[in-house]
Parts: sequence; structure tokens; C-alpha cells
Amino acid sequence: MKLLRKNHNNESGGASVVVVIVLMLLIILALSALVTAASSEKLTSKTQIWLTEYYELENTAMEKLITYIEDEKPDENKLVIFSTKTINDKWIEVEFMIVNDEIVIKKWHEKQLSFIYETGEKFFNGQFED
Amino acid sequence: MDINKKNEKGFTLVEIIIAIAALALVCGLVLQLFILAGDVNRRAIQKQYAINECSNIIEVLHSFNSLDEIYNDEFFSDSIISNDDNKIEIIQNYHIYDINVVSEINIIDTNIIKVSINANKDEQILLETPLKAIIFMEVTNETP
Repeated sequence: MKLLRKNHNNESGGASVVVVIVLMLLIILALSALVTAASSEKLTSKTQIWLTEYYELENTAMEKLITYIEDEKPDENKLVIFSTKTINDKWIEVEFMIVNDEIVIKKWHEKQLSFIYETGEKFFNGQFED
Repeated sequence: MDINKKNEKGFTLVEIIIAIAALALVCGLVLQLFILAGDVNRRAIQKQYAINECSNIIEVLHSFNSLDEIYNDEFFSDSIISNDDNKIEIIQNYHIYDINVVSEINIIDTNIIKVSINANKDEQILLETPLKAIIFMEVTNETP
């Protein structure tokens, strides 16, 4: 009976324990909100980098393609495969035809050079597929 | 006498003040974390919005086949603020986050333009795209 009484007396601190648990939960919730927001911002920064790289690549490829067409003057209705290294270890390969003075692009590949090195043999043997 | 003895079990005023102060301090810190998370999230959303709008402008410019199409397009023609032989400056305001997108189009040739776009909010640059060359030509992409 004495033990039971002692336990009964200890319950008077129950409210404090509840307050501490609620505060702990709030801190955990706030920290997870902060981590989520920070990762969202990091992802946005990465998207910005990818976008910049993509436009730089497309820009360089477009300029090189036009220079190639102007210099080489490929025949009409004939499939031409143009491949060139652009920037940041990127490689571009374009299959196109000139039809009625218009460029008809059949395929447009953009690849990282490091990836091509791994599969270089296949790529240069013309067996490379996406 | 018995009643007075029972009352001695309560907290003193100092104890209550200390408890409330400690609780306020912890609550204040937690609230600051929530506010910081909100700020970071808002900044990320604005940046993402700026990226989408800049990308959208580049793609729209890319779809044109001549300079005249830029002048005749409602989206661009209403926002042209300066226009001379070599350069067109376009400012668009996106009220949703009050972001200004400034596009500078440098005319290299009748068929080639170079575009640089930056998005800013409260005169702070959110995003700046690299100079991009756009060539006006008929391109048919047969693969999706």
C-alpha cells in the first residue's frame, strides 16, 4: 500500500512531462520543416545549374552545326551525321537532312564525354544507342 | 490551521515566473526555426518561378522564325522598353511574386540574335542565364 501511495504521489509531475514532450515534438517538426526547405532550395540551385549547362550546350552545338552546314554544304535529301565535342565534356551528335533548303533534324543526342569514354568502342563503331 | 498547511504545497510567484520565462524562451526558439524554414522555402519557390519564366522566354524566342515575329508577338511587344538597330530590351513583371524579368536581345544578323536574361526581385538578382545564340531557321524535329 505504501508503494502504491508513493506512485500515486509521483503523478503530480505528469503535466510537466507532457509539456516537455510537446516541446520536443515541436522542435523536431520545426527542424524537419527547415531541412525540407533547405533541400528544396538546393534542388532549385541544381536546376539552375542544369538549365545553364543545357543552354550553353545547345548554343555551342547550334553554332557549330550552322558553321558545318555553311562550310560543307551537304547535298539535299541525304542523311548527314554531324558529331562534335561542345563544352564541359559534353558530346553532341545530330542526324539531319536538307530538304527544300530546310534543316530536318532526325535525331539529336547529347552525352557526357565521361560516359562515352566508358562505352567509347561501341559509340565509334556506330552501335551506340540511347 | 489545516487549510493554511494545505496551501503551502503550491508554487511561489518566482517559480511560476521562471517556468513561464523558460517556456517562452523555448517556444521563441522553435518559432524562429519555423520562420526561418518559411523564408528559405519562399526563396526557393521564387527562384524556381524565375527559372521557369526565363526558360519559357528562351523557348518562346527559339520558336520564332524572324525578328518581326518578336515585334508582333503580344507577350513581347507590350513589354519592349528600348529598341534600336542592335539591341532590344524587354522587361516583364510577374506580379505573383513581384519578379522582374529583363531580356536583352542583341541583334547580330537578321537571322541570328544573342539573348541574355536575368530575373530580379527588389533589385536583387535571382537568376542570370548565360548569353545564348538563337538562330532563326526552319527546323523540323521529327523525333519527339
